[in-house]
Formats: sequence, C-alpha cells, structure tokens
Amino acid sequence: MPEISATLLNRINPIMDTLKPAAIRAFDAQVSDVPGIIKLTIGEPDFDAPAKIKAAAVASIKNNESHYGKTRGSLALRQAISDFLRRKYELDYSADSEIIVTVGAMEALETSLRTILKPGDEVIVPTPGYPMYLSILKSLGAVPICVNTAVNGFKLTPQQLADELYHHNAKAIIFNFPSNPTGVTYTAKELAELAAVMQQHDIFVLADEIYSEFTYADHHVSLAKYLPNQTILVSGASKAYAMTGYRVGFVSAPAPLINEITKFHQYTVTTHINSSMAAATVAFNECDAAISLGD
Amino acid sequence: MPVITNDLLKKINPVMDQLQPGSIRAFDEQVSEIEDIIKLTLGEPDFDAPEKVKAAAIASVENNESHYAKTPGNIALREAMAAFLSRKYDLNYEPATEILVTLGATEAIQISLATILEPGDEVIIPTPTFPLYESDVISLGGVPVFVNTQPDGFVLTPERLAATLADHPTAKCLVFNYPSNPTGVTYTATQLEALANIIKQYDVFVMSDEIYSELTYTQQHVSMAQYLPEQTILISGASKAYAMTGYRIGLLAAPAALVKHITKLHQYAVTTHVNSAMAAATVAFNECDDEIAVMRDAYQTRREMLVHAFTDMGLTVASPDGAFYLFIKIPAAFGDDDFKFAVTLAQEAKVALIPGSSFGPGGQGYVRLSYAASEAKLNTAVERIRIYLEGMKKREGEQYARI
Repeated sequence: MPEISATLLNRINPIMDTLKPAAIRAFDAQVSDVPGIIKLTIGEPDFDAPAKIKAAAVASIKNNESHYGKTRGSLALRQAISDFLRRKYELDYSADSEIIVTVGAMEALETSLRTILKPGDEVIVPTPGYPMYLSILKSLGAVPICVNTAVNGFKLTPQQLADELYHHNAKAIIFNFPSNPTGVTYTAKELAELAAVMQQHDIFVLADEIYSEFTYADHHVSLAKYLPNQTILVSGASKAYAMTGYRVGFVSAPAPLINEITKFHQYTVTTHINSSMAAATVAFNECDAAISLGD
Repeated sequence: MPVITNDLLKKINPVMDQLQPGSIRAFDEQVSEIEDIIKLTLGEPDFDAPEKVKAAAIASVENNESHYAKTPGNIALREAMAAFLSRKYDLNYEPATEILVTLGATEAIQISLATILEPGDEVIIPTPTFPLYESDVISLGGVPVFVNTQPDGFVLTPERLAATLADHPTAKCLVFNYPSNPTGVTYTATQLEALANIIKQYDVFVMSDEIYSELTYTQQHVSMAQYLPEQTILISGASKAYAMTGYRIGLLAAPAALVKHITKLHQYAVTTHVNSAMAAATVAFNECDDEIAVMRDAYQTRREMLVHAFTDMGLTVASPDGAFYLFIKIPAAFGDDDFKFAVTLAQEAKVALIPGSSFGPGGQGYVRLSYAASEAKLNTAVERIRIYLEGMKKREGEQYARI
C-alpha cells in the first residue's frame, strides 16, 4: 500500500485534474447496481464474434505467433483493410504505406490527434458527439470549438461549418458519422457539400466512421471519397464484426501522415496483438455476410 | 492514393520533426536485407509462450470473451500481478486500486510520463539506455537530462545521482531501468538503498522500468519500490520473462492516487486490453514460475558461453548481470565508431548487432548483442565474429609488413 506525498502528487501535470474518466462508463458502472435494471448504455454488440474469426485467433495462438508483430500491423491485415475500403466504399489506400492498425479506434483517434495538434490548437467538434473527443483534446491541451447541431436535426450544415471556419483558425475537424449518440448520418450530396467547404481551408478532417457498416437507410459513403487529401479516416473491426474486445482499429491517410502517426503508435503500444490481427484479417476478408445478420 | 499538400503537412505538431522512428528497429530493418545475416538485434525471446498460457488464451476466445474488458484490466489478472510482485519482490500493491494492465511496458511508460510531465519539465535519464524514454519525453515537450554512466561501469552511482539532482533540483522524474537494456548491468540491494536515500530528499518521481526483473543471473532482483514505494512508478510485464512479447501485457504499479490519473490516459489511449491476452497473462503470472526458471537457465548457459567466447577474442563486455544483452566494447581499430563497426560486421561477418550509440551518451564504442536468440544461432554468430576478427588482425599485420 504505497502512499504518495501530497507535495509530490501536486507535481503531476495540472491538466490531469481537469480530465475525467469516461462519463458513459462511469454512469454505466453506477447504475449497474440497481436491482433488475436493463442497461442499454454501452455501444457493445450483443453478438459474439463469428466462429471463423474466433478460429483464426485460435490458430494464431496455436501457431506460436507470440512474437512482436510489425509496427504498423501485419501486412495481411493491412491488405484486408485496403480491400475492405475499396470493396465497400470505393476508397484507394495502399496497404504498404497508407494504413496503420491500432488498438481500437480509440488509439487511432488519440495518436492521430497527438500527431497533428500542439497545445492551444483549435479543433471543431460538432455536438452532441462522443465525449472522448473532448477528453482527448483536453489532455493534449487543444481547444475544442463545439458546434451545436441540434438545431439542424443533428447535422452539421455547410453554412454552419463555413461560419465556424471563418471565425476560428482551426487546425482540424472531428467528424463522426453515423453519429454516436444520435445515429444520424450524411448522404453523399451532403458530404460533397461539406467537403467543398473543407477544401477551401488547410485543415485536417478526422473522420471517425467506426459505425460505417451500420447504415439502415442508405449505403455509407466515406468522407475520404470527396476529400482524400485532407482526411484521416478512422475505423475498425469492433462494431461491425462484434469484436470490441479484440481491439482492432485502423487509420487510413496520406502516406506522409501515416509515417508520423506510426511514431506515436510505436511509442504508445509498440504494435498490436497477433491473434487479434489474425482474427480481424478474416473478419475484413470473409465476414461481409456476418455483418448483414445484424439486420 | 491520397496526396496531402505540403502546406497542410507543415501544420502537424512541430515536435514530430524531432521524433525518429525507433532506431533499433530501423537498423534491424536495414541489415535484414543482407543475405544469410544472423540478427542478434531485437530483445525478442526465441522461446514460444508456455503451453498453458496458450491454452488460456484459446479458452478465452472460445468462451466468447470478445466484449469490452474493464478499463484497468480484468481483476483476475491484476490479482495475479499483485501476487507475483508480493511473491517475488516482497511488494505490497492492491489489485483494485494500485495496478493497471497496459499494452506492453511501452504504454505504461508513455502514459506515466504523460501524466506527470508538463512542457519544459526535466527528466533525468541515466545512459546508455533504451531510447524510448527520450522519445517519449521529447514528444511531451519535456527536457531529457542525460547522465552518462559509462565511466562507472554503467552503474549510476550515488555520487553522480546526488550531483545531478543538485544541478537539476526541480527535475520532475528520474527514469531507472534495470536489469539494463542495453548493458545487462543490474543493481544490488545496497546500491539501490543508497540511491533511494538520495532520491527521497527530493519531490521527484521515479519511473522504474524493471521489465527484465525475472532475468538476473548473479543475484535475486530487488525492486526500487521496496525502498521507495511512495515515489516509484513500477513498470514491468509478461513479455520478456514469459516469452510472450506478442501478447503485449504490461504492468504498472504505483500509489492509488497516481494510478487513478494514469488510468484516464490509458482509457484515452487504448480503452482497455484484449481479453484473450489477459487470460493468458493471468496463467503466466499465477502458474509459470517453473517455465521462467527453465528459460532463465537457458539464457544463463548462453550468457556464459558468450562471455567466455568474447573474452577469448580479446573483447570486453559490461558486467552481464541480467536481461539478455551483452554490451561489447568494439575492437580498438574502430575507435569509438560503433556504427561503422556494426555495419562492417553485418556486411562482412553477416552478424547484426545494434550500434551502442543508439542508446545515448556512453554507448559510443560499444555494440549490443541480444542473446534471446537460439543457441545454434549464437554459436554460428560467435564463429563468424571470431573468423572476421582474426582476418582483420591478419590484414592489419600485412599492412604493417608492407610499411
């Protein structure tokens, strides 16, 4: 039971006191004690991971793939991600140089933001949004510019975006769709119009499209289709393939940015876990049918 | 093929330009092209993970533990880690509040430093050492203060530490890594206690990276946390001892008030660890003391063979007390140019070792050999180095003869 002295504890980075553990998880933990409660709190698929995904993880463990993986993730998985992005969203990312495998979309977000932001940088965040964006920005000393979209049916409009970019010298926009928490998403036309505004500024767009496989009205269209040169595309296997616990996320972006993001990935986790990567390779390559069962 | 404009690329965090990809991995990749090369470059055990560790990982996958785990890691693993620290090192950490499961020691190091450092803060780093500490400090806007331990046989002496702290009284953190990567040198209980007595006089954190603690050959490992629990952030993990680097299990133990803060950054960085890897590590920490002993004996055999061989070749090595590294003084003909020696050795002898200057001040003139590689590989490597050095001497002799 080591006890730290108050004076030493006071020496930690003062930002830490302003950071809170994720509010969603905290609330979930709090209500978990209520007898008989039905919790619809966490974005956690109730499906188990498909059997062939599990088989791939087991085979990886049995084959003693217990040694360090490649820094950016196994090439097989990066190729599977590249193929997935092409097949599903008509995107063109090279497995060699434009994709990195991360520990969930969370690491993808955190390392990407850390790569582009320095303390004091402004970042436009449409709200309501996933609260972790604000937490990560705060931890990096960046300044969130929250844009309330409730007035427009929870959609950011080109006019709203243009106004914000006029008033703020923002370094980046965090753009999440289909949206957590609203479920709202954007049509191809809406994206094209927003991209036209973004194109007029030297601004990074962090597109968090982790829910891309869950669109029920239209097929998902990626922002990267309209704005490939400015987009840092974040996604992963967690939600679509019901494999949150495998923690497989990825970033796709122009190669020079991936080079930079790779440094922080290496400093943060060294590399991903082989059995998770083997599982995700099968997910992206062979489990389109399993996604549809989510109907 | 998205193409970013130069104007936009210039807008990234300016600190990125000061950061280099890991130089060890970079050198490793560079020499990997050489045909028939034997690489003794990476700290990667050649053993496979123990069977019961694998069985636990498989059971976890088959039992559909594919959902989010608890943020600080599952409690069974944290209990196993606490029991391990108590059984092996007499340490007393509470699983629920004082232990955090991280993605390798790497994540533990990064989020600890990110929790305590503000831009401009000084961090004392004894060198030569693992280059990640410096990269992390710089990336956070901190200022590394290197202390070259080479003149003292790669041991930080109480005198040198006292002088350094006197020069940098507001330093925020001291990074301590032993058994050391890259030198293999470790510290005795007496040495640690003397250092702890000095550190106690300052409000400074000690990040003690003891990831190689199970691999000591001359004595039982003693943890810094035994002498300085209030100030220590203890970092360890399952990677090196249990030959499960790919499972990425790191361990952080510290006072609860600190772990609470560090956990927030863990959540921001990765959310939580992977269930199957945690199930595997639980068995490792609880049930695999015997497996560690077998691997440690194997390393010890290799170490003795190597020390004998290099001494025989007229080369000196730093005191190889622990980890699985030898830090070898390069032949006098190369002066202090360890990079040239490492490249020449790779090209002509087909043996790859890491240039010592990759590890900071005091590393120049040395190369690091990792004996985590198999005995057969090590034997071949030794023979190749021997033949190369003999040839070198012969060529030198001929040169003199011509003069």
